[in-house]
Amino acid sequence: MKFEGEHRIAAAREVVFSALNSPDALKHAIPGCERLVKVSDTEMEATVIARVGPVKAPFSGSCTLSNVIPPQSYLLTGEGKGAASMGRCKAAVNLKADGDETLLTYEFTAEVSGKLAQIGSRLVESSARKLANDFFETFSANIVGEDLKPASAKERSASLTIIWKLAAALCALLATFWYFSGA
Amino acid sequence: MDNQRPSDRESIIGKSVPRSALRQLVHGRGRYTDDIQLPRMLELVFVRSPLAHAKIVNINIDDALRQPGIAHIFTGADIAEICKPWNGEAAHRPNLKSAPQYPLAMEQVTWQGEPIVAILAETRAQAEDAIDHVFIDFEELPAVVDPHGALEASAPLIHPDLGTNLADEQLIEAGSPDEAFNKALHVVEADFTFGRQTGVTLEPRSVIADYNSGSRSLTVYQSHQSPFQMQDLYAQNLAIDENNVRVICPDVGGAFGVKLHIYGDEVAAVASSVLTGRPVKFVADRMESFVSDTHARDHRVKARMAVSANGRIQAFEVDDLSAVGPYGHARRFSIVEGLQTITSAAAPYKFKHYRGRTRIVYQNKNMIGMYRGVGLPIACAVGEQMVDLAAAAVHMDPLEFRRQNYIDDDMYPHTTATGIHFEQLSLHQCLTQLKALMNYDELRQEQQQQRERGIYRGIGIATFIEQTAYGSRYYGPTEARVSVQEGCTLKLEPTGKVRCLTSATEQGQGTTAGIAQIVAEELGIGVDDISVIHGDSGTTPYGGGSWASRGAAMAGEAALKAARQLQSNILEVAAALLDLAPQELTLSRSRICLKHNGQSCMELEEVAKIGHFRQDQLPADLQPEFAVTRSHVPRNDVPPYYVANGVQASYLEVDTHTGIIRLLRHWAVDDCGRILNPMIVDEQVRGGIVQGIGGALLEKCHYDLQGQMLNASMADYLVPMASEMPDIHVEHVETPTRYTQLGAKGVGEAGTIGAIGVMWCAINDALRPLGAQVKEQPFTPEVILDALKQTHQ
Repeated sequence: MKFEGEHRIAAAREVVFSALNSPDALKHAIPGCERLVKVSDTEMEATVIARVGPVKAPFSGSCTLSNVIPPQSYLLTGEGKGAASMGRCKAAVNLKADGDETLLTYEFTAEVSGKLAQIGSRLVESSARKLANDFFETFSANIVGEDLKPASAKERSASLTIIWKLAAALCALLATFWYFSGA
Repeated sequence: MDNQRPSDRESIIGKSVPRSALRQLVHGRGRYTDDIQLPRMLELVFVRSPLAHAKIVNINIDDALRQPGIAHIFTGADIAEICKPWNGEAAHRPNLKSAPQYPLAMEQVTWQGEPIVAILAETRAQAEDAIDHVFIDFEELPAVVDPHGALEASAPLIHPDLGTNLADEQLIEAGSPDEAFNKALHVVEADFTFGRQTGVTLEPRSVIADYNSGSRSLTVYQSHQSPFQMQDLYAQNLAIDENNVRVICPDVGGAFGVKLHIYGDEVAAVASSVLTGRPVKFVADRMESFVSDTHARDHRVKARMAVSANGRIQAFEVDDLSAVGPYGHARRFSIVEGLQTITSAAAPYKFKHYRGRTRIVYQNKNMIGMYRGVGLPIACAVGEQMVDLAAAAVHMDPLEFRRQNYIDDDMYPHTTATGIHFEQLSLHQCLTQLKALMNYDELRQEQQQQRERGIYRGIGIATFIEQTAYGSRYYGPTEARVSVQEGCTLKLEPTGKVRCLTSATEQGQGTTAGIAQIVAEELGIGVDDISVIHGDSGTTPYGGGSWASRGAAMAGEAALKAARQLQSNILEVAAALLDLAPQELTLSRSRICLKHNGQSCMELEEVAKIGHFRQDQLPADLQPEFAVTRSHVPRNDVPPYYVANGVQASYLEVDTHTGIIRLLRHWAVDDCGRILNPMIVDEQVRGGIVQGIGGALLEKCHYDLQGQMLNASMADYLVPMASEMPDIHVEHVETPTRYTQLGAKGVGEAGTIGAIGVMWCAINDALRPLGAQVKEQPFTPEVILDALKQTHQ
C-alpha cells in the first residue's frame, strides 16, 4: 500500500520544524493512546487502543525517526505487532517553504501481513487516508493557532512539534491497521 | 448388458422428477453442521499465520488464558501428542515428495493462514477476543511465491528435509514428437497462465467433534464429501477404534472438492474434543476460508502443435508447471491437476506423436487441492486454444477443423497418444448437434457484420472430456486408503415403503434424488415412497462419497443392484403367497402384478406386512429378506473411469476500449451416458458453466511477493452473479457406458471443465482480427487491454 498527501500550513518552515515536545502532550493527541514512551530522541513506543465503529483493538507499536535533515525532511518508520496481523510502514516527510507558509508533503508506504493484508488495500487505504487527512487538518489548524495566538492555543497540543505530530499520525495509521486486524 | 426396462412399467428414470429433499431446505428446516448444538460444547477459533514463511520462535498464551470464557488453548505440540501427521505421498509414485503435515503448525509456518494455535472458549466471541492476547514471535523467512522461482538453485527450501521444492515431475511420450515437429509444415505455439482460484462454498467448512471418554467413542458432524475417509483418518491418526468412530455429514451447502480434503484446522478441532472430553465446534469464517479452503489451478503451460497443410494434427507437446502450495494433500495428492493437464489436453483428437511434461512445485501459498474439474479445465483450455491456433494457421474454420481431427466414430474403444482410454465418445454427434443448436453459420455471418461496424464478437467452441467415477485401479496403488466402491442398503418397511441408505453424499447436487429414482423404477414404487439416508458412516454402507462426478454412476449402480435383489426377494415371498412362480410376477405401482398382462394380484404393502409380522403364513423354509445391501466398484479388467464428453460454445462481445466482456449466449451439448433426471443434469451443467465462467472472467486469488493474499474477502474476490450470466442452452446426447447395468456416467464437472476453455477461444476469436491474443486467465479488463496494447508496440 502506498499513498501520498500534501498539506499547506500557514507558518514558516523553521517554526513548523523546530518546536519539540513532551510525550505526555503527544499521548493526548493520539486518539486512544494509553501509553507513550519516548525511548530516545528518535524512538518512541506506544500502546494504542484503536476504536473504529463498534470495534476496539489494542496494538503495540514503535516509531523511529531517521534521516533527519532540519528543517526540510525526515523519515518515520513504524512497526506494529498483533496476533492476527503484522505491519511495517514508513512515511517520508518533506517540508518546503512557500513564502510565509510551509508545504508539507508525505509519502506513506506500508507492508502488511495476515488478516490485514487479506482485506486488501481498498478498505484499509481509504481509512488510513481519511485518518491522515483528519490529522493534518487538525494539526495545521493547531500550528497556525499556536503561531498567531500562542497564549490561547489549545493546551494539550500547543507545543507539539510537527515531528511528533507526524509520529502520532503514523501511530494513528497503525491503529487503523489494528482495527482491521482485529476485525 | 441390459439397459432395458420392462415395458409394462412407467419409467421414472429419465424424468424430471422434482427433488423432494429440497422441501426441507426451502422450508428453512435444513440442518447444517453449525445448526447443531450439543451440551457443554466449546467454540474453537484459530490463530493463523500472518506470514507466508517463518520460523516460530516462541508462542506465549499466558495472557490469552486469563481472558474471560477461555477453557483451553492448544499449540501444535499439544495436538501432536495425540494426533499423527499425514503425508501427501503415493506408494506407487516413489519420486513424489511431500513433507509430513501436522494439524497445527509446529516449528515453522509455510503459508499465510496456516493454523498455529487453537483457542477454545464458552462462546465464539470470547474465543475470538482472546486471539489478540496470543503472542507469537516469528523469525521471518523468505517466501517462495513464484513457481519458476521455486526451482531456482537460490530458492529457499520450504521443507529442507526434502532437499528440493520440486514435488514431482511426470513425463509422457508417444510416437516420435521431435521428428514430427521437424517435418511439420505449420507449428503453432502458445504460453498460458492460469490464475489461482478457490471454491467459495456457500456454507463454510464446519465441524463438531464429540469425544466420549466413557465409551471411548468419537462422533463427528462435518460438512464434508467423504465421511468414510474422515472416519478412517480419525481412527488411524487419533488411534481410536474405527468401530467407535462415526462421521455424520448433515446438510452440506456446496463442496466442489473443497470439502473432500483433510484440513489441519478440522482435525485439530476433533483432537481438541479428545483432549478436553467436551464437544468442540469449529466453523470457518469467510475470511479464514479464503486462506485455508483449498485453492486450485495456478499453472504455467507451454504448448505447441504441429499441423499438416491439409489441417491434420501431426504432433502435440505440453509442458506444464503447477504450483501447489507448501504440502501435497494427503490421500488426494496435489499432482493430479498437472497429470490431468498432460493426459487430457487435446485428448479428443487423433494424433500419434506426443510429449507431455508436468512439474509440480511447492510454494508458500495456501494448499492446492481438487476443485471442480481438477486439471481438466486446464487441459481443455490448452488443447482447444492450440486447436484454434492450428485451424487459423491453415485457414480452416475451427468447427470443421475439430470435426476433421476428432477421433473417428469407428475407432472405439480407443487409447489416445496421451494415454487415456475411451470406451465410446460421441464427439461428432455432439458437434453436429451443437452446430445446429447455435445456428453456427448464421452466427459467423452476424459476427462478420458486427466486425465491419467495429464491434468485436467472438465465437468459441470447446470440446471436453470428463473422466468420471474413478475406480480402484486408479486409487488402489496409491495405498491412500481411498474407498472407490459405493454401496446401497435397501430396507422394505412393513407398509411397503422403502428406506435407502447410500454411501453417496449430498452437497446440493441432487445425486440422492437420482438414486431414489433408480430404486423407485426397479421396485415399481413412487419416489416419495423412498427415504434416502446418506452421509453417515455409522449407518450407511461403506463407500467413497461424492466426488469426481461419481454419485450417479457408482452409487446409482449399487442402488440398481440392491433394488433388483430386493425386488427378487419381494417377489419370492409374493409368489409363495399367490402360489405362483416368482418369474411370473412383477412389481408396478406398489402392487404385485402378473408379468404377462399386468393384472394386479396384491398390494406390495400386504407382502411387506406378512413378511414382517405374519411369517406364520409363509412356507416353513422361506425366510423373507427385506433388507439388501449391494456394492459397486468398477471391474479390474476395464479402465478405472467412465469417460463422458461434450462440447460447449460461447458467443461474447469484447469492448476493445474498456476490456469488458459481455456474454451473449452459451451452449452445451453434453453426453453423460444415461440420464436419470434431465432437470438435475441440466442444472448441474448450467451451474458448472457458471462456476467456470467465474473462473474465466473474475475469480483470482491475488498474492503479493511476500505471499500475502490481498483479496481474501467477498468484497474483493469476485464471483459470478446470476444477473451477469447469459442464457445457457443445454442439450444432450446419451451414450450409456456398457461397463454398468445402469449406463450412467458423471456430469458434475462437465460445465466447469469446458467453460474456461470456451471463453478463452471466444475471446481470442474476437481479438484475432486485431492481432491480439490473451494468454492469461482470468480474462479481466486489465488482461484484455494488455493484450490489445501489445499489438500496438
